[in-house]
Amino acid sequence: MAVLTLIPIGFVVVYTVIIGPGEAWGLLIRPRVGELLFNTARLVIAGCLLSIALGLACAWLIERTDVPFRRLWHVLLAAPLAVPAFVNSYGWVSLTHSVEGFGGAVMIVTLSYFPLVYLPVAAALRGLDPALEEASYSLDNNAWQTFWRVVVPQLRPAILGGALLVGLHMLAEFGALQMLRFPTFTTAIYDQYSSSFNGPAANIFASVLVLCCLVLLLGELKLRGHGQLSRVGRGAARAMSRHRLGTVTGPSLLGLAVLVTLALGVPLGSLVRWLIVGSSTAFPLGELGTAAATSLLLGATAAVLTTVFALPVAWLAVRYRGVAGNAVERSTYIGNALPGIVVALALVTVSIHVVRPVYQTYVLLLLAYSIMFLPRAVVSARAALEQAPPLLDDVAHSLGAGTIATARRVTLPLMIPGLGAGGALVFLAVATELTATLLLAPIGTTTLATGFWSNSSSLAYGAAAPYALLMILISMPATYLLSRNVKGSVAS
Amino acid sequence: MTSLSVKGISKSFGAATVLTGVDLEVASGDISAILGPSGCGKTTLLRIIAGFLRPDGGTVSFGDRTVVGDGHFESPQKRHVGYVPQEGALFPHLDVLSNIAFGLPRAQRRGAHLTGMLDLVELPAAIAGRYPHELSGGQQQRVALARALAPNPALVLLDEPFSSLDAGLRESTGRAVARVLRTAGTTAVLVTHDQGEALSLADHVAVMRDGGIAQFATPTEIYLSPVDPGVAAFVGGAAILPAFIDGTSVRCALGTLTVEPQHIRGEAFVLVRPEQIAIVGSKTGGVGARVCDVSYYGHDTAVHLDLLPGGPEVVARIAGRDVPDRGAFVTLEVRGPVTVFAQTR
Repeated sequence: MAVLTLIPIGFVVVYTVIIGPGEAWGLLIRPRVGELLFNTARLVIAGCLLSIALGLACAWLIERTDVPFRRLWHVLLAAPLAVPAFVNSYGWVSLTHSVEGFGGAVMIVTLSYFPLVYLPVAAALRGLDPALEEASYSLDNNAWQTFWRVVVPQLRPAILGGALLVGLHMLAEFGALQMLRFPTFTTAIYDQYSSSFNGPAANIFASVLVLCCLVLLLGELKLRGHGQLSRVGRGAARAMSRHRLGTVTGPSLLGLAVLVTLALGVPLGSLVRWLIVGSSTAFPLGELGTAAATSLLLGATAAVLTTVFALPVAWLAVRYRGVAGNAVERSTYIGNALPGIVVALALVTVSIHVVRPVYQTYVLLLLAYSIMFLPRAVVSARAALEQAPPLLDDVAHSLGAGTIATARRVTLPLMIPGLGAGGALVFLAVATELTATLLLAPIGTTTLATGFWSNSSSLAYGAAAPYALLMILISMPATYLLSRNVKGSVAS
Repeated sequence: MTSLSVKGISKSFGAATVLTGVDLEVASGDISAILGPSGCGKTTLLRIIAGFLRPDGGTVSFGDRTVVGDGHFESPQKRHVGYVPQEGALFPHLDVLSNIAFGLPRAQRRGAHLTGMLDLVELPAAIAGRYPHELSGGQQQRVALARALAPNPALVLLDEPFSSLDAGLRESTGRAVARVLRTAGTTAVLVTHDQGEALSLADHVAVMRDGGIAQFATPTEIYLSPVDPGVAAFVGGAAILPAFIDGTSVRCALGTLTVEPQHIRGEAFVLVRPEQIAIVGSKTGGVGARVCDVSYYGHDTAVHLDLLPGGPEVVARIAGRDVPDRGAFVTLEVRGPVTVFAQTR
């Protein structure tokens, strides 16, 4: 499985070597590439900074102040993850075309992805030991100094990890940016691919995109540093005391309300509006049903497949900690950092040249999903396996249970909740996946995402609405699971 | 019920040698404790006996059945050894009854004898349906013991089973477990770093040091006649003083003491236990000392004393009343025979 995940990156490297530095240089040194690079960079930088600001502010408000309705806000702030970015931008574009371009793109993509910073930072804030802040106060630091000198340094892994995810999502984002007419490398690859089918330009752009991802990954690694952030000393941390907002309660509530309205209200509102008034609104039940069934089936199959692939990887990483185990686990994370469009492009090229029969089949599509979403399943499987320490195997053996009986009676029952969560995460991702599906789905296949896409890009906003609605509906259970999971990991 | 015989077991992890030719003979129905500081290899030895680890050399036999050695290795699931690990390690997804029944054949996993097991480990039948996280530490440990005993193993191995419990619970759980093992007549090996636990619960104690067994004897022998000063100091408080031996009398900083007849003569060391040192007021004739510190525990008191003039510090363990003040000058007397060691270093 680890080898499969290396196909996309191998493709990029091999391709760049084959065409040679001269031609690659020629393809790259063009004003068009400069424009794409500028667009991509400013989108990623602005989006990450804005997401950090929003995520940190919201997390602090919800976790550390007495702002009313905290539980409700927590759910509402996590909820944008259930609305795919391309549905969000559809909501905005169908309302006003003034959101096209850089400003709108940054705003909409940030509104879609800031929960990726909010959730881990909120979880980290909840887990902080209040004794550290009390110690800071006792050393004569005021609230503001304490926040910057004690709280923020401890949140750094959560902030950077979240920002890295936001950055990678922005690099990979296709649907939203295409709709907002803001060209980046990813949209350029798609345009190249659909106009000149697998041309050298698309492939070289893919190499640059991978390079950008690498820069982000290394940057995060470097900024994170090597500090130990675990709690010193034993015993359960006490509950945190909350700051009183007092007179700023009103403005805080207003701020949260505006944010939630922009991130959730606008896309959902305009979806509903198009469902009701759109002239092209039609409920072709047959087509909708087929698309929904295809999405469900693909999501479920990919979830099972990816979980099965993830098991041995997690097993190696947990039970055989060491260079080899770590290498295998890390290599699967590459899939997470690679944009769907690169994975799809690599699989198209490799399958055409090496295994022609799988081209244009569900096998290839499912393989792409597995490569892209394996990390989510591995993380869950890993956590699940850690619930079943080897000591329990020893005890089971001493009670006469052999290897298979131990797996069946002890290890698997303990892992099933975690595996289920991982599978649900993969399902969620597949149900709303657009880019790789557009490139790899067999001709004539329509999923909810591609159905929505073909309608909305031909400006049939009303016809697109029911697809988006169904997509959000089938992702809701998995999103709920995600927000509950984050809570659970803090409680334990 | 079976005897356990360990011969010449050695084990290394990479460059680190953990066990160097360990020999141990445990009689059938006996409770033996392996006592040693952390890192001495006692858990490794236990895991080798259980079959979780393969030794580099040596043999382990249960009765006349060799389970490892001479190129033969029996997997843990074939050995029928009960194993009670440190934290109990109950299966978290199974309730108490299912945990206890885990090692039984399918047909026997329901029935009255399972509640009998709860009786045996002195737990109320009402907890049969509870899950491990709903039990206290002591209850978990008892369920773990019941689980290990349910398939009627020939041998039970307990790896620091009480160390995660707090002091009061540790004692009562320990006594309950020893009672259960004696009732069941099971051969047992208990690994611990707590000398009180080893001495009070076991029939025999093996003191382990640097990957080998320094002494294997009954608790009284270990405490009263340790083979060397190291064992003496490990199993209890000890003042080990340079001495000169002449027949049955010993001259040392604590005066002239009597020893049981033995063969050591001349320069040697003498072992005096804290409870042998009595404070006899300030009468003349005894050994003078100055009280430098007093630790009062209620049931007894440890008095730290500087022997006069300028002698080493010793500790006297005396009853809770008549405690001297810090800085007081007192007279000491040593009661009962003392143990001597030849000067080897």
